Amino acid sequence: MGSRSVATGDPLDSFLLLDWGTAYTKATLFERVEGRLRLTGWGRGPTLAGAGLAGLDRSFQGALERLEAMRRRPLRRETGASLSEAGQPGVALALALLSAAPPLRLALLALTGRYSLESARRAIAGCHAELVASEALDEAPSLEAAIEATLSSAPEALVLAGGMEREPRAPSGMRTLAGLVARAVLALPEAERPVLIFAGHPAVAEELRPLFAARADLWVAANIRPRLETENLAALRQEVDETYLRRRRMGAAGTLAVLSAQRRGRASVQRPVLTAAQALERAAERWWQKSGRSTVLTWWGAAWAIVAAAGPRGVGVALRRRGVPDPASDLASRLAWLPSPAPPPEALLAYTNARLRPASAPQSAEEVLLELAELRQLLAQAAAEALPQACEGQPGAWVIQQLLLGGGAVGNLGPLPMGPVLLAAVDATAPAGACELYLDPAGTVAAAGALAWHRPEEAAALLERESLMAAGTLLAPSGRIRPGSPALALRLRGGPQALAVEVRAGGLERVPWPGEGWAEVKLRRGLSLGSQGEGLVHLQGGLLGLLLDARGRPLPDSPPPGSRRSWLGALGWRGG
Amino acid sequence: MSPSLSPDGLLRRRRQLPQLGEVLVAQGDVVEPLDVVARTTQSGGLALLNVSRELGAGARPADAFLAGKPGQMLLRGETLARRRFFLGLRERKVTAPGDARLLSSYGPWVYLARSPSMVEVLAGYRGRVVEVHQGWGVVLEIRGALLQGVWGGGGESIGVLRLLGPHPEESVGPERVDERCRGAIAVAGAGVSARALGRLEDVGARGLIAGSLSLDSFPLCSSVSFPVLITEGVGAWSMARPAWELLEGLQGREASLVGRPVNAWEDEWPEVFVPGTGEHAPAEPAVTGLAAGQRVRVARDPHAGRVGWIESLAAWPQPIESGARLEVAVVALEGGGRAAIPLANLEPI
Repeated sequence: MGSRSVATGDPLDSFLLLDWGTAYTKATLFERVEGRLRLTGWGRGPTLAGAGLAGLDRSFQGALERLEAMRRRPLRRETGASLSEAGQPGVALALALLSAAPPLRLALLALTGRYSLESARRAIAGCHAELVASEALDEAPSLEAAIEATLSSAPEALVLAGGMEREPRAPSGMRTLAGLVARAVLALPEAERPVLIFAGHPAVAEELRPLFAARADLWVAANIRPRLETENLAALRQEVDETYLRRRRMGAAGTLAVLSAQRRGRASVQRPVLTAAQALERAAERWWQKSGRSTVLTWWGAAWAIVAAAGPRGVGVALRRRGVPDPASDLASRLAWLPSPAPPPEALLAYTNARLRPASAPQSAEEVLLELAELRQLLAQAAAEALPQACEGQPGAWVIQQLLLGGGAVGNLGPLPMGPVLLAAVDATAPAGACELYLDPAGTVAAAGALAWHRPEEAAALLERESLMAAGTLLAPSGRIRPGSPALALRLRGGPQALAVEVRAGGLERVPWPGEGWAEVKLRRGLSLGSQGEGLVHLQGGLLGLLLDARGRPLPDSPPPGSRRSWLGALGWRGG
Repeated sequence: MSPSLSPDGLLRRRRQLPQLGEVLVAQGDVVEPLDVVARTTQSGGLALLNVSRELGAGARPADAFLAGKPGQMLLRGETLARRRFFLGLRERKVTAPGDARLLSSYGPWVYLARSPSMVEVLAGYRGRVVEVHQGWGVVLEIRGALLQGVWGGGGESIGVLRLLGPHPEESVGPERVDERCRGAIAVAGAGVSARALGRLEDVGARGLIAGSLSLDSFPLCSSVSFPVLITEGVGAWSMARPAWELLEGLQGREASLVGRPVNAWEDEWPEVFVPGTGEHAPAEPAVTGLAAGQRVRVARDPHAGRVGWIESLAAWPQPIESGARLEVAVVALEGGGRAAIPLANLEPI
């Protein structure tokens, strides 16, 4: 091992990421090879049950054993518990991602439904949280009823938001609300008291601080909506995430023996454990900063669907939970993407049974299709929250220049349904124009995101094209023309052979194109590829190749009957 | 993480209060299912009243009108605050909305703590106390048969196991439910109809264990007064034969039924437990993974519900029907056939 340093700024020689997922726990190792951090091995084992952290620790040991066997290199000391210290075999930095723990039970109380409540809800949508109560003062029957309803939901944390900063003095309504809520929280028995996260007018925060004195029950974030046209989503998101990790005992020193070596050694790491959403958000931001291209990361795990986006409008992240659906309300809608007009009854049953066993894997082609339908639907819901915060465009036609799909369930699906998987991600996020497509079965992007919290420059190196699995490029012109008329013509140059393809409006074609090169693109009048334009363009291929999407933008939510099956077929789907 | 099945084993179960309280048993004590092992008082929540507004006093501080002092208990309807008019000749009152303790006031508002309720944790199982966590609860060592399911609801109960049909493939109608189900935990192979569920409620059954329930019947589970445990899933699945045979062999015995939702993070599953000797293999779920020679149940299609024996584990990911490559085991299925099945879809029995 070469020099090992975490705090000094010297290049890392090795970095280990543990990913505690609902179904699998993965240990991924990155080592410096020829001057660059590269993925050199990974081990995966089932996430084992057992009283929270104890189960996770056993899960981690299993994954690490497999990684050590693969790399033929010890990463732990003889105790089997902790990563070795400086001077011994081991790694320079170890970080962990958590998505296996149950979400934080969160209640939200805001001054106005249209402003502070809506902004806070958008922020919370990016956290591993379940909103158990949500009240706005201007919509509740009374102030007293709103407070009682919020507290009776027995939340682990209560977010209090409101009060625009037109004047230094806070609006009296917000001061009254905050004073009442704070005293109500403090009047509860300690075991039932939620953490209070305040994201309102700063003058009110100062009035609250003395009430809570040295207690740890009050956390203050920047005002979520200081002005009508300004939102501070990131600050509230961070407080909620920190509360979640503390509540799940991830912040406590010594709980994770496996990460403790860093503290005993030369370095100290402030945030050894992050949520999956935190890592993806940071990765999207870093990739956007590095490339200048608007970036969307979609992540599909056994329990969560996540969309993180970064672009000219900022950074956004949103999650949707994959729970057992409510048969009466959202079961059919979750499967609306299936190529049949309405989900057949056996599909509803198979889907519900699959969700009862979240760690199980789809085995038949029909079950993969159900998984894809859910993937599209939940990612679309998350995208509707995250994309407006980051990308230019409009619902159904977003300017996305890099789209990546990762997560444990992508690995479970395997390489063959790659085309349909990407189609589901494309349909969920609706990129317009030219968009490079990537797959991340090894979790490199999440690792880069975790590393970006500590070593941003090292993280950027992991976001090189050669570290990811390039799937190809999507060409999706905006606009609408008569279905069936010629829409897009492509002539490829510089590849293994010259190739000309024409796609008609409403159609979708895949062109195998493993490398990269120049192509001549012609569009029918009325269609546009945005800044990419027509004419001679440089296109990146990949495992999938080029995806010519002439379905038009904004992408219709309800395509003509039978068309989805033909699109899936164009992408190599041979299932039912 | 998967539900487990064991005919006879040695288990540990945590019985814990939701908040700090009092433990009523000692290490080494032998407990019966209905014994209270710990108890605490849980607050009934807060009530917030704008007393001054109700007294027509605008935003004036409420403490000027309070009839009692902070800490005082009030019965429902008792005067909480009063305001006199016209030289004391007329009076307006605010009464307590329920039994509550007066906590404090803030401006025109008053905080009341609704009467707390006693929360008791029963042993739930017949067993021995092996750990006492002072103020919080105990860990019991229990010996016997265990069957866990994939869905549960309705709390906990104790009753005698009673099979409603002759085999695990039968879906049970109301004609199978009679007075003999009173006080019993009913067992149905391939589920029960909505009418049978209602009939079980009418006769006073103490629980239901079924292989499956139809999608339409699931919402009804929340309207019955007893816990429900589903072993296989939604639809018309037969109960896996090993599970059925286990319950069949225990018919007439007293069982503890825990109809809680699955909480994989805490390794908590809905389950039924019948006390036994515990002389055989441990019943706790296998944590070291699957191995050749192990008996397993298949969790997902196309072999869902079937039982078999692991012949071998593939060293590397293998292609499966969907085209994906996954870690698989070759399983010899009971009743004939052999299939490569993803490890994630196998549940050890």
